[in-house]
Amino acid sequence: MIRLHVSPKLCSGCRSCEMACSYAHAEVEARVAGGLGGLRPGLPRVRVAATGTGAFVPILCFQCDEARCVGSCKYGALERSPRTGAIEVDEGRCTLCGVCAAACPFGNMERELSRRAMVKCDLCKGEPACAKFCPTGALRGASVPR
Amino acid sequence: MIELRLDGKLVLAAEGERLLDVARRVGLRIPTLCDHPAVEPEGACRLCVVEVRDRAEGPGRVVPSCLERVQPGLDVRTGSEDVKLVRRTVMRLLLQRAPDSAALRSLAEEIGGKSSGAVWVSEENAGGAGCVLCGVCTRLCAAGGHHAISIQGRGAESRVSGPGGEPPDACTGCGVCARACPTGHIQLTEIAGVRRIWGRRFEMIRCGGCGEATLPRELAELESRRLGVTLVELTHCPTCKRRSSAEKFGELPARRTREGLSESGPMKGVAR
Amino acid sequence: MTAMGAPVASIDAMSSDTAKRVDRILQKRGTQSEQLIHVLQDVNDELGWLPLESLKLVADGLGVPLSRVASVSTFYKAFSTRPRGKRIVRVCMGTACYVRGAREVTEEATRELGIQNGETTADGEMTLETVNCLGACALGPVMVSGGVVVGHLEAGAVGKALEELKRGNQEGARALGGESVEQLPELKSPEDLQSWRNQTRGRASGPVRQALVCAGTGCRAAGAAKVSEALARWIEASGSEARVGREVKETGCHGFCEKGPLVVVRPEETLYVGVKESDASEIVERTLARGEPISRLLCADASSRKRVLRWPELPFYAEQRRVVLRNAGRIDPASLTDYVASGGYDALSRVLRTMSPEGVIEEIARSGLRGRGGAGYPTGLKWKRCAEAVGGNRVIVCNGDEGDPGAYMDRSLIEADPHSVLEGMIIGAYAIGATTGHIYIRHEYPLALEQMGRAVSEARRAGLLGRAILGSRMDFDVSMTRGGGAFVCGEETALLASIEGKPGRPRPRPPYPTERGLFDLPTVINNVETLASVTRILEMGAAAYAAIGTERSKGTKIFSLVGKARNTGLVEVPMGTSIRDLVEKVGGGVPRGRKLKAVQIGGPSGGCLPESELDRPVDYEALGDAGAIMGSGGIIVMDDRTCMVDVARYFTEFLEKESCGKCTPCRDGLRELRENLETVTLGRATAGGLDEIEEMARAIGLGSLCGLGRTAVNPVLSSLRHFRAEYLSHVEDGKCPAGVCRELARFRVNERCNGCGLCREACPVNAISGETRSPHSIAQESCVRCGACLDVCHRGGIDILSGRELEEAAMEVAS
Repeated sequence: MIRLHVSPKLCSGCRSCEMACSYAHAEVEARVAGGLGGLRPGLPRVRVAATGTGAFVPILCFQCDEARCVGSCKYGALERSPRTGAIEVDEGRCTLCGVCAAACPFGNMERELSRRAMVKCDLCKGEPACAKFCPTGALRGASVPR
Repeated sequence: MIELRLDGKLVLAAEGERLLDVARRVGLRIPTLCDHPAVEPEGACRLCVVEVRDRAEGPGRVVPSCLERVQPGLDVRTGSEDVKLVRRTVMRLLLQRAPDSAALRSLAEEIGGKSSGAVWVSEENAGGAGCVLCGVCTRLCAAGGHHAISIQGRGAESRVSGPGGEPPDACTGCGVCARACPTGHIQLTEIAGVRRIWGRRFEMIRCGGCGEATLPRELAELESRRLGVTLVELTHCPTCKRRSSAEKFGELPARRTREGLSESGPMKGVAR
Repeated sequence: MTAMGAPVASIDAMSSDTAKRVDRILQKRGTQSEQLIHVLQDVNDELGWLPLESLKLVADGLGVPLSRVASVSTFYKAFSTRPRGKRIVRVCMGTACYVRGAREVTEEATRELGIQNGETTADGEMTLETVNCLGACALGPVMVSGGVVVGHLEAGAVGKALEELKRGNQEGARALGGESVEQLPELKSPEDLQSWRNQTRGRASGPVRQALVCAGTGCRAAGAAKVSEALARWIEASGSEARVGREVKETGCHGFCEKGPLVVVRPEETLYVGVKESDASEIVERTLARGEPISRLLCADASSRKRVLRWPELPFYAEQRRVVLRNAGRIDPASLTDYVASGGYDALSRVLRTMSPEGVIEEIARSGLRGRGGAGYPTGLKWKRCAEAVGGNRVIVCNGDEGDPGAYMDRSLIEADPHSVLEGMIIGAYAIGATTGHIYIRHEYPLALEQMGRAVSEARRAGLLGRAILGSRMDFDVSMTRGGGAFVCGEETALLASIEGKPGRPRPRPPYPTERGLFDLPTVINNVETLASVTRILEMGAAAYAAIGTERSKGTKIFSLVGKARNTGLVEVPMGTSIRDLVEKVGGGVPRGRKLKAVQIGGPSGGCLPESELDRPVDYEALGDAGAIMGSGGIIVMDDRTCMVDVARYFTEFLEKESCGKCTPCRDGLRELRENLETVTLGRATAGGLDEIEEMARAIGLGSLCGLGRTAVNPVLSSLRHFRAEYLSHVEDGKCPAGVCRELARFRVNERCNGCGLCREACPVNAISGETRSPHSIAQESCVRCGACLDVCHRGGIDILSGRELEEAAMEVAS
């Protein structure tokens, strides 16, 4: 099981986490018309938001115990990974109805149109890229026993 | 684990696994139209057929791989002559219903089924990207609890529509049917905060913070009742929700772990 | 009601009226969702059709989504989503009727009424519909309206028949027997049953002479009800002395429907055929009073032309072995007393007293009985699987959705002897441990529904259904479902869906219904004839039953022998009888001096066997080898005026319309196959066209989901196999040798014509001219190629040519 420790006071607002996340969730795109194809960065699953007082807070999924998103999905597309503890989107089952995004109280679920599915933090299947690239320690990943 | 033979190679599969999933897992391409992971397989389109033999000798059976489960010693052929014949024929028939569907045409290229040139056009298929009656839309609509559309009539005259061909009262405008439709037959438009589908018009509720269109009112109201969440909260857009999250958590002291957060109040019972 | 001149009731008033009527039905039927089809049937009966508004009321009332109600209401043919006329005239397009000219009858009816099939006349009086099969095959072509059946129709007589139906001649529609008023004891033990039987037997030996009037669908259509009333009247009117010991009894179908109305006088077993109301007094005075036969009413043997006195001596009956049909035509199907007196429910009583459920299953397995619905699955094995399945409650279902056009053994059996089916079902329930049963009968069979409904309620009253049957520990009851008019519901998983109140779309097997069937309970589904056979097996013993038949097909089989045979009707023969014997001995061969060409066996899933294959025995395997199937037992005899391409096209079109639409090959493939066959009948097919048809048919057979699609191509494949030359003749020579395909057939009078004028009379468009006793000629430009001339000519004076042949002939004459 993976846990991400978030320390907003250490966040400098550099948004390296967003960039790391984007590339960690990039898709290899087939050759597009006239070009060579390549990597298409994904929508960042972590976002740095600013408070009214100018402080920065990295916002990402809490992987809630009684997750509202899981209960809201009528198509069985959201399930917790027993290995990482992250709630993951089954892209095949996702119908893009958007109800999970509406249900999430924190705004950690978004629609990624190119994927034709909803996306959220999946803890990078166990190795959170955001934590790896966070220069200040505002985001730190740790493996914990169940 | 179950051992079976797939195009001559021995493969292992989990008990109860579908042949379709096993084949795809080992990298074989099997075309499908009516299979959707979120609903029960129906075996309706017959594109995914494979030939199976229970014993080495004996006649083969042509079965849909979306329904057939693995069995020890099963001999599966995904490209036998009979399989090709069925796929080619099915593809040709489907193309008559939806000759202009890009998805169908690329599948056809793969399979080698050529359009016969004949076009089976019923009134509502006039666009050329017609309905192939795969039933993905109606099954998803029922799974979503809406039961707005269904297959009506029977045989070649079957069609997907609201009851009596009228705009369906039970539709909430969720748009799941249109997004899942393999041929693009189901038309959904969303212009200036108004979504139109199945002859109905749905006003999109705008985010209370930024004004972005979120969910159709009917869907939001239904989900608000089902989930016990107020309409206002439900229709705040993710960006605005993140902003208020930041306000909440930004004031918290450093080195908050999630355990700490759950004790601190605002997310009790939700976060851990 | 509003006074004259006042505005017509407003829409709102109409709506509230509909609401009230629907509400009444909901109150009667209850609000469980599986009542959906029953409720819709009632609403359809009540309102004449199903307006969307009524569907909404039903959906709300039953708590079923409206989309599902709409799906069900558009799936079944019995429901109409458009308003219909006061009278619905249905023309039967079953195979038997089709090969005898139902197409021409339908065309004539559309001309007469000025509407197309499915439309309603402007005055709202009549709606014209074609139906798949009314099960009155021996009377074909047949037209019905409101229970009135007009049989043996010819295109020329359609106008008159419509007049008759419009006048609302309700003669045939009289309910048989009405509500049961029989005094029934409550049977609490096997002894009760035995003592009741002894009692009734004493009473039954009373009459000196009995006139048994067949009141099956066929004979009723021919006026049996009037005959039976007249007989009763004349007995009543005869002197008090003569009245004693004389009685009239209405029985079920004898099977000899062609010759109805039939009257049998017992104990002499004198059979009268074609009896009219006016014959009643003579029958009462001479035969019933003195046992004297009336020569003109006796039946003539089809081949020797001699009049036969006793019915068992007629070849039609003599060649049969009536095991399952033992009671048919002999007992009053509406009377439980009659059934018990003839030994009924003895088998059940013995089973409950002396046998274990396993013992019953073993006995059935030993008898070698195989499912009579078509596939021939061993009944004992099916029961065993269900009995061993995991799960508490079990269900037994009687499949009476006899949809094969040209087959009506189940209808006839239920109409003639419903208790034998019910008894077999109770025995089956005992064997598998079922406490509930369902009987599913198609809605096209009103009389069968009525007879079975009465049988069930009488059995319940007498304690043969319900709790502690005959004092045993067995509880069992049945409910009935009226089919909605979908051929595919004969398929077992579709049938179950239909009983559950859903559209009858098949689902994939496994799981088989014996593991997971009705409402997910382990379920046995047996055909009507199978269940009646069960009763007989337990009466006569498995060994005696297994002694009849062949190595792998035991017992007897009922066939409906229809089409171009002299004696059409319902016949029961031992397995192993050759098809030739069936057609020529029992059926009396092909009439009018024509040549036997083929036999279509097994209905739309079966195949056509050519004359050369007819020495095959009726046996599941032997028929399968020849590309046909036993099916439910429809045998359609075809002569040289039947075009095999047209027959293949007919069956394909039938199944195209009956396809549920779920899987692609069946739904769209059959349509394309039918279109391709049509190009052959129109003479537009290319040389490669036949290979395309064959490949297409193979793909549909391989790729379809359920048995309907998988076997739908048998008529095409088997006719291509046995009659390829006839196809080629269409494609290469532009000629239809049978003179059926109108685009190809040209008729010409040849030198054998003696100017008798019959063809001139028969021609519906007056295209034939000529002086009496001098050769006639056909005006090609007005000829519609119906072939009526060919059918009436005794001398073979009309040639069937292709267009090219006709032109060449014309040039020859010119030069």
